[in-house]
Amino acid sequence: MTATSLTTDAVATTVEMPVPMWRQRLKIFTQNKLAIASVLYLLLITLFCFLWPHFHPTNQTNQNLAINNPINQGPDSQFWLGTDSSGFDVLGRIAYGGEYSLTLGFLAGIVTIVVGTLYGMISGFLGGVVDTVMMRVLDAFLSIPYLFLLITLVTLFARTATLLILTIGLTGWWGTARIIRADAMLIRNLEYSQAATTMGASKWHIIHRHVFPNSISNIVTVATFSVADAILFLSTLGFLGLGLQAPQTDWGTMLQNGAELIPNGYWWEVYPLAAIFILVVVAINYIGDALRDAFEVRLLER
Amino acid sequence: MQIKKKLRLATVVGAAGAAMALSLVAPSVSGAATAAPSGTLTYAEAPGASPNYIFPFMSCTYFSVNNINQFQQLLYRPLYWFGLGNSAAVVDKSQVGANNPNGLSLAAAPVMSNGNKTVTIHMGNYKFMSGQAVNGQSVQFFLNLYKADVAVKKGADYCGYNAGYGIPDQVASVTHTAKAVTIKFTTAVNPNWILYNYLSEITPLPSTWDTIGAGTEGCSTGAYGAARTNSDCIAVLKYLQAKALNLSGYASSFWQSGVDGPYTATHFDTLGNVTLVPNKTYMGPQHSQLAVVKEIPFSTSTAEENALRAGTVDLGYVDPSVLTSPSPGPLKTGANWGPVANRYNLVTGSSWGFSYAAYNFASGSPEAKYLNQLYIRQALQDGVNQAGIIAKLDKGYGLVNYSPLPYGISPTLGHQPKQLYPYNLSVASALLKNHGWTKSGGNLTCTKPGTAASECGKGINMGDVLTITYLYGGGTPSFTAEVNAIVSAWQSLGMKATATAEPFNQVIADCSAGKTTWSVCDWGAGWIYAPDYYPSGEWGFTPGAGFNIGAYNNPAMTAIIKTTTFGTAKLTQYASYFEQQLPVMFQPNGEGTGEIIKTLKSNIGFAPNPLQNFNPEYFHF
Amino acid sequence: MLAYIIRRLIQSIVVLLMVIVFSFSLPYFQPEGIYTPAYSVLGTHATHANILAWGAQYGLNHPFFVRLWNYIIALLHGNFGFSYKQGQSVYSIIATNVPRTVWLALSALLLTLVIAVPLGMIQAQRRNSVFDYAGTGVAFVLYAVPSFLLAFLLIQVFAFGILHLPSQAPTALAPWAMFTNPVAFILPVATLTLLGVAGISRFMRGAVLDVMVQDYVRTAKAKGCSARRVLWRHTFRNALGPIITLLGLAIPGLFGGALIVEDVFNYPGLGYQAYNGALNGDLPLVIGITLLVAVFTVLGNLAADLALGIVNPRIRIERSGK
Repeated sequence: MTATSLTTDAVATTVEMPVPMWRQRLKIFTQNKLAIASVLYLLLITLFCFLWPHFHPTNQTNQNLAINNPINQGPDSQFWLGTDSSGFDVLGRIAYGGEYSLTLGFLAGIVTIVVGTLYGMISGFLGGVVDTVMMRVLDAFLSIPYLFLLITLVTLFARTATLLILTIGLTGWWGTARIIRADAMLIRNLEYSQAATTMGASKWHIIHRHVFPNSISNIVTVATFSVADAILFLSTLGFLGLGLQAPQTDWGTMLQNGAELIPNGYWWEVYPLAAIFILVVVAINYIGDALRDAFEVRLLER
Repeated sequence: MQIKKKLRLATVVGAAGAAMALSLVAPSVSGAATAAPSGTLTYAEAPGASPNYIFPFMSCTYFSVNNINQFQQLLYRPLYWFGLGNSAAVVDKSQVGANNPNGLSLAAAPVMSNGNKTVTIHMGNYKFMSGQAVNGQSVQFFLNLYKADVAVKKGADYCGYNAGYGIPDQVASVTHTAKAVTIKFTTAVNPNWILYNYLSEITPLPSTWDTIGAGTEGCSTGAYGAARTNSDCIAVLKYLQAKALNLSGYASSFWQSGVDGPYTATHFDTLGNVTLVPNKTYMGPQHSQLAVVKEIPFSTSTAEENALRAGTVDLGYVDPSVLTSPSPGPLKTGANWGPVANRYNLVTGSSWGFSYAAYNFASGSPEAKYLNQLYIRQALQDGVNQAGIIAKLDKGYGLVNYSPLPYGISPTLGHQPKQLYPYNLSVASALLKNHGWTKSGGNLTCTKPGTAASECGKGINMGDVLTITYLYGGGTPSFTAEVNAIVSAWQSLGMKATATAEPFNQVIADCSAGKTTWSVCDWGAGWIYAPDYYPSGEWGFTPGAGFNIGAYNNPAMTAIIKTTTFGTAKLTQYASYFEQQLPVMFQPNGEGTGEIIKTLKSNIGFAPNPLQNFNPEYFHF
Repeated sequence: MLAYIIRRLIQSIVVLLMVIVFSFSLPYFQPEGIYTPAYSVLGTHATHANILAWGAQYGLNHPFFVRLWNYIIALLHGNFGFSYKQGQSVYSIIATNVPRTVWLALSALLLTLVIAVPLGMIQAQRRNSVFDYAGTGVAFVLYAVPSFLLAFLLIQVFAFGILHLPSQAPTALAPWAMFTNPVAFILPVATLTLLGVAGISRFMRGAVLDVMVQDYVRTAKAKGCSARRVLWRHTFRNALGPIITLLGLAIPGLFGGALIVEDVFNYPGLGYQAYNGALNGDLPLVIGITLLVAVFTVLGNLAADLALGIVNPRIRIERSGK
């Protein structure tokens, strides 16, 4: 949608803008208080995940010690959020699992966007037969049930962090490629467009000033959503028992273990993490939305 | 015969107590089937494991608890019935249908003669639903089929085949009369071994199955091992195998004609829904008191637990991980799981097997040189905190394990050894130190290469780091925690130990014989001796054995095993030597945890059966 | 129009061929090779000879291209191969499970549309109102909840807290079992619907907003058409295009979502079979189901394109020009 919506009047409006565009966009973004709150929340959780283990070290890898810890114990002065079914300190484990979930989600999102962008650009710029072939291949990928493929691949290989990133990343770029291709085609068409010169600007100027930023905006926005999706998919794998290997963990695996104990009333093993997790995904998606709004100058008119 | 897979979930709730099992020796048929059967029993199948094969002569693809114990044996009784009871003591020849024409077994106890080279089986009074007597010919049918499959297809279609051992490879001839079957062996065999491992697997087959669609073939009547018999049998086998693939046809009269057990199937579908009703012509000691037995499939243990919470199953199971109150001791139950405690009783029981992880001794494996050292295997075993794992991760529902013999084995088979290597990290540490290993940079490094008593041992070089690669089947949180507890303890000794999880099937593939990417392989629970019940070691600890995945080759061990299979030695010496030599890493034996609805009653008590047998005919509401 | 349909059909066949080749190559990615499943299928007693025999039985001993060719020929005869693990033809497993999954997914999809389309439109119309914010907030949260967690929470609250709805969907095989116990479908369908509403209502809101700034809507407004008329006559019809496209593309995701729901609610269907197949190394089953979903998707896209051509004839020309 966004990719093809660069209308001529938007170009015309932006050409005359005196303020650098990125600054104006930043301003729009910062005016969105919820977006700022989302950024702050993400920052807070990231800092918590990566720094908390240093302030309050808990053993999250040695399960021999875990045998000596109480299991499924409610919060107390020693374990602020209680312990889980393997005796790990839950608060520390949320941070530990968060390191993996956030890092994996972020990196898988990056892989998605890099591969998707390259594929889309090559297809869009080259056009012709290459484009047709690449698009049909993309159609084929898009008609494969993504989750089935992911599960099949994950069961075929050992589940290391790197392989999970690659698997999620390399199977998630299909939608991205479509959007970027549309941008690339737009650029390609503009090259031959007479309209660009008649508007008084050289075609390269337009590509450089308007089309490319628009692509960047798409890439950034899609990348944000990709990260959120990657985190969600990772959690689904965790639920299916295909997440990271113990003693490593990720939020999905933790949520699954906690969810099975809901009937036991061990609220500390699922609800705090569930809230953190859901808000993280909400925040990332909201930032994506806000970025799109900021980038989409056209919206200013509404 | 089978490796156990997620045993704790898969345990079948069986029935009976030891005392009652004894009384079964002399039941009265007329007294058993008085009241009209009533009520429907709903039985929860293990997660993702539903029956899918009806023909009791099957390849390894179908050789599973869910097919054999939960389905086929309710319809088609094996020649010898084992394991009606919560105590493994009932796995004892003295209680196997001895002189009892209508015991749970279809024949009287086998009679050995000619220096243990001949066995004679006297058939009981059972009848198939087709009306045919379960007689010598129906046993010969099975054995002819077996022989033909081995002769023509190298035993590919029967999973119980053990090349070189027992039936049919050591059989010289099989002959039958109407009431008896005589099997002559080429060498002397251990009577217990042949009964527990081979005669136990025989399922008498009806003549109605000796067909390829029309007419009658000669598989049930032909001479054992004759070329004509073999070709007939292979044709029959092919026909029956193809027919068995049509699951919706299981309730047909063709398959039901072979029923000699207490139940007959009226519904069967590919999702795993099975409906059984009493076989009115059953000749056994206990007729079904239930009008209907339903088996229903489950996707996950959580789904099954939800069904328990809703009260929609009568016999089910819980994962010990949800239990809040630990077991007060071995084979005792603590308080039941809160959400179901008002409706169900919790029961627990052991399993006729033992849990272990395999070591890789294959010459190509880079870490075999460490595992070849007995002192290193001892140090590894010293690092396994069985009591801690049982108490914390299994909620007390586990048994300390240090022997290949199952818990509660009868003294007539052998005695359990004493525990030699309990959890003790300082002993482990001293063992390694005394053999020239010193910590450098956190890792144990060999500083005294050589083969003397105080040196590292053969093949280990100066500067080698003690490395262990542990492959295990992931997916169950408590088992994952168990493996990581073990590996963490080894790491704390200074070993460079790493654990890698894989899905169950991948573990089996990656651990299969000849692979060198692992040094310890742990698929989840070890081995269960069923339906070959004799706990001897030829299946896994002799060179070339089917499940010798670690390429263990110790001539002394092989010799001892042979005394228990071909000789008449008890299993005591084998178990002691096995424990001392540690060809595997022992880990705790899990207990099954079943849930029984409170309104259900049993003539003979409730407890999960060690052999995972299911005898619903003893239950009533 | 006919030329367009033929062109799209040819494209679809090409796409399906690529899916076949890709899925068929999957087993070759196994680190231990295509014989890997034999170890788990045959179990502990399998010797090397057994494994080779097993491979020959499934034709694994032939070269890749021969196998591929045989597979495609078999597919043309409706033969999807034979499951390694279940001892049945893949076709019969699929035939058993298709109605179950389709029933689940379709009822959820219909319910999703009935809720999400009006919701998104009203949100767009009342942009920045309290209603819009509330709808957006709910959609964001639902989108962020992992499906399994939502299912667990629904079970805890509505099966064991209040209402006491069944936590299991019927496992009976017969298609009419779906109708004998409709109450048992409330929770599974609700789970899928809530997840669907999150995405579709957001998308609908965006699509309507996009259309609302288009020239013809402005013109319609300027002409003095009533707001309601503008919304339903012009905006809705034009926003319908993207929604139809989205539905075509959403088919694979629908089956993925069904996987989780089938697993949690003990309702064996295609997703559950594919998951178990993958876990057990039963690749013929996984590939068969993948192909089937791909066919559904391709057909769905085709239908979406044709529907689009009817809703908005401009697109047809535009697309066929590319």
